[in-house]
Amino acid sequence: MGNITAIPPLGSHELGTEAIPAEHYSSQKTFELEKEKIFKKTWLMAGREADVSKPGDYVTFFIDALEVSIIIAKGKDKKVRAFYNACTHRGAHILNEPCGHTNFMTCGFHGWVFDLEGKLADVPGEELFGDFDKSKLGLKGVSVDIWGGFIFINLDPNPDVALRDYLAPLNESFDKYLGHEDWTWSYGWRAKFNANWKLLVDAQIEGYHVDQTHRNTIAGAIPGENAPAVVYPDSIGVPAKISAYRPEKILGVQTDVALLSAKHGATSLYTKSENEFTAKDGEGVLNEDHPLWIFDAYLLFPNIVLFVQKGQILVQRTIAISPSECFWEVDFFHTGTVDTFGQLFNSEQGRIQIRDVLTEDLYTAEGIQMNFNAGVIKEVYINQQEIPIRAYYHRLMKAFKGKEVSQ
Amino acid sequence: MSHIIERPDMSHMLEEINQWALPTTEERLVKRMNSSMEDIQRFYDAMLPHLASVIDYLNQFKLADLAGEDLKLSRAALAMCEVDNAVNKWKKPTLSTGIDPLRMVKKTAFNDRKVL
Repeated sequence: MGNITAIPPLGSHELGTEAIPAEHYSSQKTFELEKEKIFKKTWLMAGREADVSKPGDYVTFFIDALEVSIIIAKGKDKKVRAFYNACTHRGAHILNEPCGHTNFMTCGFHGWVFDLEGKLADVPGEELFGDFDKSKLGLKGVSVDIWGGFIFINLDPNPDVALRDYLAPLNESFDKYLGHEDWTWSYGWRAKFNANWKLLVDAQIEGYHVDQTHRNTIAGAIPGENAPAVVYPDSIGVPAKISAYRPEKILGVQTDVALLSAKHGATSLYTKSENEFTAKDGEGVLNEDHPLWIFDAYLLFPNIVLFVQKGQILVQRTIAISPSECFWEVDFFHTGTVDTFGQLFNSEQGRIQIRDVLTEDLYTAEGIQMNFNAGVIKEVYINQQEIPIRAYYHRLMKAFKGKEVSQ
Repeated sequence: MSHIIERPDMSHMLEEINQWALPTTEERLVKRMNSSMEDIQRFYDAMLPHLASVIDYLNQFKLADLAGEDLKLSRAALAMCEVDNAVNKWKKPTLSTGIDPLRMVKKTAFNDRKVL
């Protein structure tokens, strides 16, 4: 029997050791390939099913790089559908709010009305048009599917792989756990960066940075040597994951405020709580057999880092704008409600700790981008603990070559 | 029978409570960023010995029922979460090895893109 508290190996060289060109973070040519081969061809996380729980509920989603806006709406038949947010009359956006409820989608320009199935239902002054077939002027549909309570869209009308196959090895257990109705969106942030969208993904998928980048916050709570990586070379949509484990003895500063917070809840990743999060259906997802395990963070190709733990989901999305610009978002989902001041104090403490840690994670990308754009740095070196970055790069190259085949 | 916890005597720090009892996390963040380390430390040192009893006192009410001086006290207690790292880790009001936290704009929903 091995030591049950042993941490898995930090990573491997199974994908090679060559340097990775900096060009794929900076060139317009690469960005054009990303638009054609990735943003138009792969599954993109676009919303949460709970936000379209009733017929008539909708959310909108932007793919900034393509200047594409998508409507995701639940029909009267309770089916979730996705459409280009483009009136078939003269091309206006039809819905402009991030989310809402409507029985019909009415264009604010001239009042063309589409039903929740996307069919053109009414045209004011229809007789004013000439040769006219309303049945051919429904909204253009987009592929959509739901997994783990998250809505994914794919601009390809016939995706090469179904969402479920795309996300293997994340199996039905993940679908069930992440999709549980107990999860509610708690809070989130959005920011704009002068950096390539993939740099902010890279920052979250290796544990090698932890000791140095986070030396002024969580050093000691999650040492770099407790953040191993695993790659899934056969997966199409999940190239890699990293995990985080507490040290047997937490080093670094555990402040009085953190310890008081830990009496009332479990929101902070960085303090061993006296209370556990509650979470149902975590079997096969949560590594609860390991006493030191905190979370697993999965790279969902192309732009999501999904942190899974007991009672908390953290989603980081980066949304490309241009080779050197992106939006960055993180969103937190929790089980349970905040009813007492103790819980509020705990939630506040956890939120502020992770905010400060994220400010550190985000600190380097814009400087890196400058060095890439200036041609000062032409390639980057990836060690075995950083293997998820290599897996991400390989996945990207495979997408550029064409068909979404895993073998 | 539940035991009723008495309100801790905070009369030694009414001025600090008034200064730090701001309604939102963002306002408390800005307050911390714009304060001197001396002011932050004075607030922290005055509150810390009472923080456990303040939390226990406030914890016996429903959050929605907090009002008046108790609501103010709750906001000042939450400000301790905001100054914690400055006092115990950075020894200065702001973190010099991270982006400006005000660049991270608070969202109102998962699909909110209007904030930025």
